[in-house]
Amino acid sequence: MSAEMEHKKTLEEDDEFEDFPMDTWPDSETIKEASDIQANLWKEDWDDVEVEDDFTNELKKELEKHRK
Amino acid sequence: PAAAAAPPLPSDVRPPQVLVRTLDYIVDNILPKLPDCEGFLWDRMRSIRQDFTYQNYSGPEAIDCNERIVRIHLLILHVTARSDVEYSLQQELEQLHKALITLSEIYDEVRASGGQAPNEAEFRAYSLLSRIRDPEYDKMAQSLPKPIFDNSLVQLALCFRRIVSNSTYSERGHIKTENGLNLYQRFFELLKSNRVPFLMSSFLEVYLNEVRFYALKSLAHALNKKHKPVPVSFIREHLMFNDEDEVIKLCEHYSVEVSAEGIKLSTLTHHSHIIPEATPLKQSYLRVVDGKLLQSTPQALINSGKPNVDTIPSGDSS
Amino acid sequence: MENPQLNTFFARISSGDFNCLILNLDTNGALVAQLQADLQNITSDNDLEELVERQKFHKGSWTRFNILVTSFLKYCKDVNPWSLWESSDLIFTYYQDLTNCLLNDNFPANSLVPLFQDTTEYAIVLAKRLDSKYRDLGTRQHQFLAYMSSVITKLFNSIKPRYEEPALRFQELPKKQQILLYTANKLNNIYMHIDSPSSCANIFKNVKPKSAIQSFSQYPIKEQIEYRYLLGRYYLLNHRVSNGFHQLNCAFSLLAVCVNKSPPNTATRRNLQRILNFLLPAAILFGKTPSWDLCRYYDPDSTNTFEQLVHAVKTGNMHSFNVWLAQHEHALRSRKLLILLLEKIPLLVYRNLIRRTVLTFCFPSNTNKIPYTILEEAVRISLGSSDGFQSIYTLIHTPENVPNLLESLVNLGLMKANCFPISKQCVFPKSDKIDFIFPAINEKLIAFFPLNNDDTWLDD
Repeated sequence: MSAEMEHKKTLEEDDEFEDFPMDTWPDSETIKEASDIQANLWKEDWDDVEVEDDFTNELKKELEKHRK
Repeated sequence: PAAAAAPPLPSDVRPPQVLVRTLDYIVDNILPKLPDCEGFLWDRMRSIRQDFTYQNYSGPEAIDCNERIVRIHLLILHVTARSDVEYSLQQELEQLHKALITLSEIYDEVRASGGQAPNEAEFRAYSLLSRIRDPEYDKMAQSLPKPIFDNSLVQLALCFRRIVSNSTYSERGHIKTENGLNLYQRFFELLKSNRVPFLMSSFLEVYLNEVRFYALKSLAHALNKKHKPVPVSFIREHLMFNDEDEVIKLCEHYSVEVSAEGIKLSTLTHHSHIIPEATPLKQSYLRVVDGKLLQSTPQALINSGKPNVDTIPSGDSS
Repeated sequence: MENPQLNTFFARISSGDFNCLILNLDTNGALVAQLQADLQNITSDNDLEELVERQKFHKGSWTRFNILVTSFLKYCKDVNPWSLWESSDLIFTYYQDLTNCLLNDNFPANSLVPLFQDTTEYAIVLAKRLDSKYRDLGTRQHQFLAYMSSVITKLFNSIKPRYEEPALRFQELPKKQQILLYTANKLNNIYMHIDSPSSCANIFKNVKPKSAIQSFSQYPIKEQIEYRYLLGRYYLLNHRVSNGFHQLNCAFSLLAVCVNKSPPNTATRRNLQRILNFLLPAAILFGKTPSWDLCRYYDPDSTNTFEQLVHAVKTGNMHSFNVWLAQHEHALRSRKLLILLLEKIPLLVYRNLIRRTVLTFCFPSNTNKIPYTILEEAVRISLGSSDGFQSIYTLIHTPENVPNLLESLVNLGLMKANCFPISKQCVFPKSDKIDFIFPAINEKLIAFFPLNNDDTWLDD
């Protein structure tokens, strides 16, 4: 088993944190950067971009049949 | 009272085979006398369970007796609800719940030693219905081995848990959670169908009153405030009341105005189905469930499981 | 009787060097072996106890400390380096004796705290190894980890808040106070591991009253991150979406900064992926879509998986939602996410489906009414065929649910409309703005399901 696969397996089976290296105390900048990450991560809401695919086209077609 | 009593003398505790025979006797001779013998049955079944506990015995006889006791409690729920006998629903449910907890513990033990109890799925399904809004039970369900999880009764119980998962349910100690659909129509549709066996239907009848309350509340909130009164017949049909009298009783209980034109849903102001200091509504039942009961005899229902032998593979250390 | 190794050992302890009390044979094996040789001529436990007492550590007043040293020497004397099982009694007795020393604050237990942390890490690994063989060993499932949790709980319970002013800085706290969050995390991890997460409630409830520092942010940052990760998962187990999202989101962003700042490290990255496995479903339930590019940078696999789910939800496609769940059933079940998603995503799928239907059917003809029959048609198309699915996926969903779907959406403020069940139609405000009829999901959720007040101190 490759190391890559082994890690994948660990992730699948174990949701527990492993020990990781990290400065014990963040500088004030870290906190600010964390909120920047949050802001960038959640830019969109459900409705911001309309998506289309076979399903939505079928839905549209069927619904339009019923429109008077 | 039981907790305060001194433990019985060892000579008074019946051995497992005797407890099985006692229960056999009850099923054959006492059960046909329901609903009148409810109190007697309740007492006898509790003492059978206690005798197993006193000797700390969890072998096949204990599984068999606890399973049949659960089924008897489920049968009683329906039979007493449709009768006029005095009984305590609270106490029935309490004993039922305890028997289910005992069974879950034994099933876990059996599994830990490499075995499989043959009727586990059926009783896991009942457990899932006994605390129908407790997420702890969803966690339990997801830990079950795949064949049990995939069993049709377990799947059905999981469906009912989703159906009643409305986000407006309110009771002391209950925390409302997000995105719950209140699919009460589906609740009644499924109960009507033969997909849901009698014993499970009987258990679900316990939730009839609250499902109806949150259905009315859901409707009341979705209607325009100036909406005209909703005909009693509409509510009777959609919430599967046996007759219009039952509808009126429920409305009276929650002080909802009913006039000749119908039910004025905007007058429903209660947030919880439980009204403090009021006598709770009488337990309801459905005529369709009665029909399911007639499809077999009580004895056949209670003794319907596979025999509990060889639950633990021999040669395994204990 | 000449016991040179033993005498050196005692001298080290007297001087306050507790590294000689380390169990781990990888780091302390040489010393343990030397002591083992020295100890062979001491046959009775009594002799050993007397020998330790004669050393007059701490002027002989700290009985539990003597018990600890004796316990360590018994371990040295009898440990079988080739059998963890045979040595397990010695190891866990020692761990308990060590923890007992920390319970009473009247003794100089501070100096033992690093040894306690070290031994905890070591013992948890051993307990997991033993528990994984419980059938061969004839022990109960999770027996050793459950034992560990009972020992650590005693320590956790013995951590009392100081009644004076809270400390200004973490370093000013007594050592035992410093490991409050560490202990809480260890316990919560064990509870999750042994399938007893309901026990976490008591820990989460008690950390704040026990804390003697001004703000949560003064605890070591990795402990903060892990604490929030565990708390978030605990909320999801209890189906509390908004709270779960909030905690996991904080854990993720803090850890992400660290990943960006520090040199590449696989453990850190894997922890980030662990958070994402819970954060992404929580976000979807909360009506949030992540920036996929940013997510992909941290964890391409999970990102692709959840992107498919989001697509199903966005388009209002129940059928492909069910396909997705069934495909990932195993992994979702093991994380206890399957039922949460099964129960709480459909409302959002239906919301998006009905929204789309209103856009397609009503907006072009400027009507603010929609007949139930049209919505039933939309639901029918969305559900597709139920062939090949287990009943949990399909049994409760039918086009006849439309009245109940609308009521549920209206009740939760996710759709502004009135239902007319008798004439079977739904009327919404006259508006050309779809967002007015279907407000943003997370804003409504926050209003209806506020964050737990008990947690505000985490953000202060």
